[in-house]
Amino acid sequence: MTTAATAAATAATTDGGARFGSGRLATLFRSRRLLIGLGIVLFFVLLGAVGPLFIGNANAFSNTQLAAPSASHWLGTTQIGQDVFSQLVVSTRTSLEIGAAAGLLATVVSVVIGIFGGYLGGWADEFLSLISNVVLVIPALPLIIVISAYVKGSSILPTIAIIAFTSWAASARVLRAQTLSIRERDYVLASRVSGERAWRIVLVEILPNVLPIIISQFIFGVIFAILTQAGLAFLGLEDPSILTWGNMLYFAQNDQALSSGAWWWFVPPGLCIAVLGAGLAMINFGLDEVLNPRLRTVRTKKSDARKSGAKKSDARKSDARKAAGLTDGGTGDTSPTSTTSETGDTAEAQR
Amino acid sequence: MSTMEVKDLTVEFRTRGGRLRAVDGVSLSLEAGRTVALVGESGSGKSTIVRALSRLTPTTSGQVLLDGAVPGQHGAAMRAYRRRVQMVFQDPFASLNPTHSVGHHLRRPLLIQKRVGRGDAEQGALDLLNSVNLTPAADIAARYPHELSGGQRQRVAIARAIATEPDVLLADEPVSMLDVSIRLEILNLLDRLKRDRNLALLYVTHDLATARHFSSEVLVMYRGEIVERGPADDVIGDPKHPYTQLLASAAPDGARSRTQVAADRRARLAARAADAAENREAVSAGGCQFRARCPFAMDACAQRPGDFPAGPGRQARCWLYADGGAAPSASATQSVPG
Amino acid sequence: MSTLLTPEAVRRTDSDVVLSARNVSVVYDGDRPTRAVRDVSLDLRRGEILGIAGESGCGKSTLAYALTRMLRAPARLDSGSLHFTGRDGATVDLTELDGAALRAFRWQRISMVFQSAMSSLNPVTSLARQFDDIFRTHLPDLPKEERRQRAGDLLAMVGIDPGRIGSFPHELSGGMRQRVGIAMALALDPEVVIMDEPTTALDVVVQREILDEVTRLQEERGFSVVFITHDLSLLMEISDRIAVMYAGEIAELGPADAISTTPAHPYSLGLLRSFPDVRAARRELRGIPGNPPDLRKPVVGCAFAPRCEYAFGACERTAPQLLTIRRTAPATAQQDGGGNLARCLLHDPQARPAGPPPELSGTAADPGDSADQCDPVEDPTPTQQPDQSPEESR
Repeated sequence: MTTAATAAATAATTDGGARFGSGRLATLFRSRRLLIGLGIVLFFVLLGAVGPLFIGNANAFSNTQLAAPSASHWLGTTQIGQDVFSQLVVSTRTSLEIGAAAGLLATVVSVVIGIFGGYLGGWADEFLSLISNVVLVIPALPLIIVISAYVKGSSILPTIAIIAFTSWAASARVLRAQTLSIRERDYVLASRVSGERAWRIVLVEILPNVLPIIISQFIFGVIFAILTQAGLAFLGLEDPSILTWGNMLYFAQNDQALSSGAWWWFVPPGLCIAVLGAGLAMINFGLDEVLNPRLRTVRTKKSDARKSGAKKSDARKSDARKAAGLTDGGTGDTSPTSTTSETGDTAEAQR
Repeated sequence: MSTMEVKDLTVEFRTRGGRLRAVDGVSLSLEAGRTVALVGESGSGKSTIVRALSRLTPTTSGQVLLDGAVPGQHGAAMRAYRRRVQMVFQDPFASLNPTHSVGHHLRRPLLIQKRVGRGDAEQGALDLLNSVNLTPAADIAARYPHELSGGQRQRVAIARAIATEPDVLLADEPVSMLDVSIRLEILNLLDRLKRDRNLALLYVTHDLATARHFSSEVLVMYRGEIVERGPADDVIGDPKHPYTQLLASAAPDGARSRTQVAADRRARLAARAADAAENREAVSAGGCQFRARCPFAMDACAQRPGDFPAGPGRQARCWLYADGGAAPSASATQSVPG
Repeated sequence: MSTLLTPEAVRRTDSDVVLSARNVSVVYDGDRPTRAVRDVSLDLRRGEILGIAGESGCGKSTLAYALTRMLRAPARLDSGSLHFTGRDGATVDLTELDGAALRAFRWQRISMVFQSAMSSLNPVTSLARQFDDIFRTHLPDLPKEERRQRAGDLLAMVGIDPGRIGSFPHELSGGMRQRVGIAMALALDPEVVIMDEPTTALDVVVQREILDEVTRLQEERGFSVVFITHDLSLLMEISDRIAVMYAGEIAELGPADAISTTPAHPYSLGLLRSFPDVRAARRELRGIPGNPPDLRKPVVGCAFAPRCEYAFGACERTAPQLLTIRRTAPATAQQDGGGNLARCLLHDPQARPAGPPPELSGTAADPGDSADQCDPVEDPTPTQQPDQSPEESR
């Protein structure tokens, strides 16, 4: 139950190694995953922000068609002689813009619908849940295709809106579930007993505790947006005059880059998508590690250090099975995920 | 006049299986400067009563009176109720928001209720910390909950509860999740605050020993009803209701010799041998709730008993006392019923 | 099942040691390693109930997991030896076992009952299936009907209707689930059963029933029990010997009667005082002020000194060893040979030639006096305030 918390709390000190309060920055840098992820994302952000300033016209034609990488064209040229590297740099900015904007919009919508629905309960919750579930169930790709077919124009706003519309629902469900759980916690009840008003409770008491999940959902949203945008462009549903990674892939596909062996045309944009996605995911896992001390990998003297994984209740189950000799003591056990709350018993887990 | 008077309180929940009556017609009164202990086990409804009295759970029927009047449910009346009735939660690890500092927890009630300025609230928070012996106060106020031990957190929770200068303090098992060696300190603290501030204290617990030592009156709950009430020493030292007798005999008692303990155990096991464990958990439809487990069960118990006097200032909800007749008093060797 | 041993044959006067731990230390790795168990040695005798009492952070559960070789990263056995001597007389070094040998050892020789049966029972399979798993793993040649039969017998043994073998854990109450946990622990007739706070999550009435069952089974089958709990009053009733742990070490060890009537360590005394008596007269109630030490930092001197009302100069400098103490009461204390040990400089003639104060001297003056005979002392720490005695006297 509260074993880990009890043990940590009775050894009370003022040193930060903690989620909130002093010393937060120091712990952020403890996670290698987080640092690597941040590094990757930072690289792309810089590339997208600063890079295009140094690039001339990325769409300029030239006579060197489908040329392999060389000193004058670092990543070679396209079918019509455009410099792939220039295109890549300019695409980075647009792809990032779309990804970030769509992710942000989806997150904001999901926060409002999920948290308020979760806290208000009753009919409001039922209604908002219904909407979330319906949107969730609608097949995204056909919907996007249909909408895209109707929406014309060269701005990226429709793309952003469409992607955001199809991705907020899953996040809203997660936030609602989390809010339902936090709503019953003693500190929220204590706020009610103190006379705190509902809106303040949601903003001041509940929101900070949901923040880690919101951030995580936002990052997933950005990944999803980038991938979806790439997919849409690849299918030819995006405005081809806008330079994005997806559009580069579309053109590469159209102009038979694969069969003519022009790897320098489609590998770089694909790689950028993959690496940025991985970087964002690493940020997510790294943040998880930092915020949840139990997920931290402990570097022990032995080379086969294992994560001190799941919740305490899971640990107990696998302990029991291990104790009964039912699983090999040397390997990690798979235990069914449990939703047992840590503070479920009236008794104290004393250690 | 009592500070808080509860009349015939009933709380029902709708569950999948129908209606669950967690609290059934409970009446009690809390006086300023005195502690009333509400003793019961999990499922007895004692926590639900606390929730209902703090207006976290709606009541199905019954009245709650403050100084003889029924307070309103909304707006200013509700705020006034919240100022006068405060609560200490059971779990020190869950009752403080991990994202806020200790100072924040203490300033909020001050700001909400007393309408004080920011600076006054800061000082008020420090004063509260001093009154619960958490020093140095400025240092503690800046800390976050995870940096405190269980006992310290509970002190913060108590400080928060007295911030609004309440008249009634509801303590829901305030020490059951704390280390044994600091329980008494926290209870002593509550006791001192009660005396200093003339609070009406409701001490909810499953521990008979501390209930006896810290309260003047003990109410014993079983399945939503109060089955016995009376002065603390009397109810626990000389329990009348069979359930209270069961509780008293089940508590570990360091004073008994080991041979005596072994003898008691043999008697209990013999009495229980015939019965499988789950029979003891049978729910009786109508009639006395304790009938299935009661060694003195009679035919009359098919009817729900009323509250009968069982001694000076004492009551028991049991047919054994219907005619004022004395039931066989409990001795330590009483076999636990099967 | 192997032959049942008669109670007489395994009574505690027989000093046959079944589990021996010497100088066991457990460390939790990390940025700041925590020394959760520090140099603990103890012997578990055949057929005895050894109680380990202590509060949060004392290391009692970590010790239990170390004894059964169930420490999981980041905890590890830093040093020490563990030896198990079975009924057959053969001694096994537990630290040498691995893999299949360790699996075979677990549950057949040593088993464990966990605090929350809610967590140690698999919620998605029936009880029958879980018993079956145990039998199939350890007794693979047992035919199916016999497996069922034994499972039913085990349930009956702990007072549950064998017909409920097909139930799922969520269909049972907390007390019944814990009984099932005990039945599973006894399924293979082990010689040692370790119980880690088995009744903490249960109501006092159910707790009483479970304890009765455990002691009855222990008397009938003769296994040894290590009973871990924070409830010292409970241990005083059921254990033969009690070890009081504090800050990863054993603070006091001795027969249960002795510790309850004549505690020798100030922590034991403080712990006893923390349990107000249900029936005895009212007295001044106080606990132990302060908090346990942070075991990530090295402990200088006695770990309990900052909270001890009897601490004197040497306590902060010198870490006391476990010293043998003489108890004159109860009379059986010395004969027991159970080891009367206390880790306290008050009993060290060199550090304190005058000897310990009367309430810790191992001599009970009058019955019922020991816990009340506290010399009033000034509160050493500024966070304390002398609280008046509780609720109005009668």
